[in-house]
Amino acid sequence: MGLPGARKISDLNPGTRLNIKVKPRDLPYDRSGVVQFRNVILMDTSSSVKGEKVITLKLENGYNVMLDEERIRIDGVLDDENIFDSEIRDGGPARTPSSVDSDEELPPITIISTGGTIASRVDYTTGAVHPVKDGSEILSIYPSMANLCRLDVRTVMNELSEDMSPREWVVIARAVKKAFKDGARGVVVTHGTDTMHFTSSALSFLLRDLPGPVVLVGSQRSSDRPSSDAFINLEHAVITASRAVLDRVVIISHEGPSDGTSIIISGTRARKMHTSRRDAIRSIDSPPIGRVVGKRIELDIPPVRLDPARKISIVGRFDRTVDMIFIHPGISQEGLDSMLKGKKGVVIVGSGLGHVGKRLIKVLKKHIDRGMICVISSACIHGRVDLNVYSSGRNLIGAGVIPSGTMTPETALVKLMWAMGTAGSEGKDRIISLFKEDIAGEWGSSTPFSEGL
Amino acid sequence: MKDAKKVSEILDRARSWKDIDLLSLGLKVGLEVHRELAGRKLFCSCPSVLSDEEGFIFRRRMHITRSETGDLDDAALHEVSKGMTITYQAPPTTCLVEMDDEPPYGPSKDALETSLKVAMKFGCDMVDRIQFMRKIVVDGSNPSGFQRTALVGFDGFLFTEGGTRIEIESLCLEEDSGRRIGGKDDRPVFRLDRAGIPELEITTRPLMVPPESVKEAAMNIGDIIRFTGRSRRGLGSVRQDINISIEGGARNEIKLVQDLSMIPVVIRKEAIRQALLVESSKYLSGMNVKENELAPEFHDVSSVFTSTVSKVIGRGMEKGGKVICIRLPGFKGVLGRRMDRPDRIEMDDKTIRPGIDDVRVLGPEIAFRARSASGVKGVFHSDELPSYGISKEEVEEVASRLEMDVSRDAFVMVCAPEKTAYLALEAVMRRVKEAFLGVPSEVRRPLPEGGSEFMRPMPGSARMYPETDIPPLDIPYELLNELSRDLPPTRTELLENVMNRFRIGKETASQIVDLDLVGTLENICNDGSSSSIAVRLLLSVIPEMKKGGYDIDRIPNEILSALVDNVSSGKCPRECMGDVLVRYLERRAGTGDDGEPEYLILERIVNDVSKGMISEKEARDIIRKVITARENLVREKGERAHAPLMGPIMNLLKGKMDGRRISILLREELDKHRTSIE
Repeated sequence: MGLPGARKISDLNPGTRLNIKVKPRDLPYDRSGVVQFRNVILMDTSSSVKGEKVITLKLENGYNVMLDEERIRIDGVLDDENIFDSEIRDGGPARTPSSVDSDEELPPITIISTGGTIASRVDYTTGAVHPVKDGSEILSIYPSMANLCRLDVRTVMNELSEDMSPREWVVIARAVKKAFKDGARGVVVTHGTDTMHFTSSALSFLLRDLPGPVVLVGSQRSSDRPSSDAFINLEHAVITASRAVLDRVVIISHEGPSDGTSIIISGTRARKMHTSRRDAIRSIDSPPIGRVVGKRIELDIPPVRLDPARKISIVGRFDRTVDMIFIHPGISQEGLDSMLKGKKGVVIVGSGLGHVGKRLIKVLKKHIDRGMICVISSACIHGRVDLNVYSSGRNLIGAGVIPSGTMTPETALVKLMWAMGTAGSEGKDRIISLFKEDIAGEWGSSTPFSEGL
Repeated sequence: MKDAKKVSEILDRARSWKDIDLLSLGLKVGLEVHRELAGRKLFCSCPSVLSDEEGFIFRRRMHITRSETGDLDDAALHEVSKGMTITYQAPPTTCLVEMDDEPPYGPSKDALETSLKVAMKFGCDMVDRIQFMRKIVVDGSNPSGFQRTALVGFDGFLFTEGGTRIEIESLCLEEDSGRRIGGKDDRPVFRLDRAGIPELEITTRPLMVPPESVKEAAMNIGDIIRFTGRSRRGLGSVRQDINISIEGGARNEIKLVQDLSMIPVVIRKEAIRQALLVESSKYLSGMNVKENELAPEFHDVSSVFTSTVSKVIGRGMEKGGKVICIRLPGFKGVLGRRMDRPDRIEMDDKTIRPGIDDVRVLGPEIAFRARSASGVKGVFHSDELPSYGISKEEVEEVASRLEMDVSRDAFVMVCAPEKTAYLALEAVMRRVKEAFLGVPSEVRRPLPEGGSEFMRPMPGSARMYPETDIPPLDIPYELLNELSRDLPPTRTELLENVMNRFRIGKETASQIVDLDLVGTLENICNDGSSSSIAVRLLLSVIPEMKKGGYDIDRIPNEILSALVDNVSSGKCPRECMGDVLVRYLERRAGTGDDGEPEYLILERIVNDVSKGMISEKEARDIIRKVITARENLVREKGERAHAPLMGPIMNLLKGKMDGRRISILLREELDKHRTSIE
């Protein structure tokens, strides 16, 4: 349809406002007549079904409709501005600058933005969630933060959780160090939730002599949703950073499905235990070290004294030639052997108390004998690794593995990476002694009972 | 303002509010019919059922950022975002999806197909791919803070039973929200049993038809969804939103009108409200009010009331409240009744037409805005004073403090803590400014008598953006073609079908259709000849038993069907149907499930009930005896002796044989008798 040489709608730029006429699609009943839509917005021209281009249009009533291109005739392009170029798509201009003039009495807090859901905002035209471009945008999303503290927002990267690597851990550690040097009372790190517990472990091992708390926080629901947990999580993180008497790395997470109470989890004890719930990050084999109830902090650990004059330092680095292998009944000797080839260290996630089938122990021993360090953790997540109960455990000990106590597999991995990177050329004994040293509560002294798992 | 003059003329001409010609006011009505679908929920596999259980309880806070509600003014936004805490109840019939703790599953195939069928029945054009959108909702009813909705079809039509052509603008498939259980405005409690139940939303183009036709359209549109057999029944499963405007007025949406019969009243009252506002705005525009007079200027007049006898004010001030006032330029008389406005001719009480002259529009609306913005209760305006214990002297003193022209201006007064009072009066001034323009566009809540009150400003389209958790869905021709073989009927079509198939009249057919009994009738009625028995069972026997408190739902259709067969074949007298069913229920209650097949149970009951019955031969003997005894009557009246003979015969045979059967036997015996005499 259309006049020869008439413009195709897919030639127009998304964001163009136009009037269109739509002829009926193939239907199993008679339908004649063309439907007019006025003042629609061209949203997208990139999708297609069976070679047919499908055009997405936003109708005046707000609904998006997806129609085959050949049904649509342009009935006039409205010469308004292209709405994708305007501020509408981001929901208006950011209203708050990156640092806010607020009460000098309030504690100075630095927010280090690294990306993830908490630092993302929605594009209201496409619905796609984008990372914020700079820290000031965080303040435009969460303006109420300015009432709690003097905020300084620094964007050090813009990575989703799954894109984080040991390199990023070090960048974040340096940014934390700088923030404290610049006078922050506490530091909040906004981070994706998927691998947040790796980062919190890494920071726990790297950062020493902290003058105040380092609080990692994320969210499970993006901030475009009125129901987003980002608001309360960030608020509780800022409250913790500005008021809690803590000199360690912690994570803030919902205590339960309700908004209102958060738990403060020690950086080496946290793990994401649910794909989507707000209270996904739990404290494993150790109760949370505190809670934030409304605006009040309740700590459940022996008090410490904060010394603002303390000189924060970064200790160690990470060796990336470490891997983690999840043992399962289908794994073959050859398979395990090829996975271990060239590895200097490995965390084996064994079954139950930390077991590995006897056919595989031989393979492990071969690699340990060539110098690989092998740490044993458990797929049970909860509970202590104990290799003395069954003979297969004792055989593992005989092969030279190192059990990881109550550490989560992730904490064990980060710890081993850190121990190997930090020991450098000092050799295996040094690595093992660094691994066995309790740095940030990762070697729990006991596993207390808790209701449920 | 030509419109306004015309409006005044129409209002003046009317004899009562009920006979105002709404179409001459330029009435336009847009109808949105919402109907829930049964089965599973739209985005998870939980059942679409309401629950009596509270279940798991959790609390959430909603946060509205400016961008999502570009149309909310800052004060309203402030109200919403200042920390509403919502309590949710998640009964065992719900899961993490309703709690917004898990992303949605793909949409229910059943609901999707039903939506396509209904759209096809309206002859709609369809989208090629369905994209679900997130529609931001600010009241907490959806734990996600938005409602998922997709436009499926557009540009359809329908002829109502009365023959009015209704243009359908769009058909959307959406999820229902949580069910409000209680709680205060800023701490509402919702139960999530209803959240996620699929519903169809059918929106008409603006209708320029009488209100009665709108009601009919609502019913007929709802019926088509119902006749898919997939709609949910029960309270709240169907509701209407009605958009109403008149010429010179503005679109106002009256939300959640549940009772179809209220639709004409709601439309009429809203049209008159708008007419009165248009009239007021015309009057106000003649008052030469300057822009700068409308800047809110607050006056603390607390000192006027230091020794007031007004309890409301006295109590408010004891609690630390202040009396704050603003002047409304040119508003004298406009806040009260229509008849009190200075431009109206004086009326005596006899000539006041209820619903027109005594309607207070602006006063209550201003007070309501103040209340919803700030929560204050004590809002007073000068057109209603002196009253509430506030004296004439106090009113005059306030007027003089405000330096107002009492022949032209009005004032609004609030007794509350200072900050709250400012919030309230700022809301008042916003409404006052709108009064000059005519009718503001609002979403309004219906009141029981058919009126409505402000809920929130009319939202714009900026509230919607794509639901990226659900990929767009292709709607191929093959699917539509397959579904098109099973489209729901219109009401007219269904009535005709029922009348023909069961050989019943229109009225009976309507009852069967309205009570949703077509399917049951099909199930229990094996052939057309027994339909009168089945209809009697469904429309009189069963309703009577229900009234008697019997739990009819415990009787399976197969029993009803077997009963109809028994009556139809003469094994069981018609009169005994209720008796049989009562015995059946008693038996079921008494023994529980003893493994006896249902049909055997019924057979035994029918045998018991018809024990007292006699054979045809015995019956004929008795009938013949009666005929012989009344020989004279038979001779005299011939065939017409049938009627007078039925009485004495029934006395003898009642409960022993079906009445209709007796009648037939009597006719046969009479014929025989008469032939034998001749």
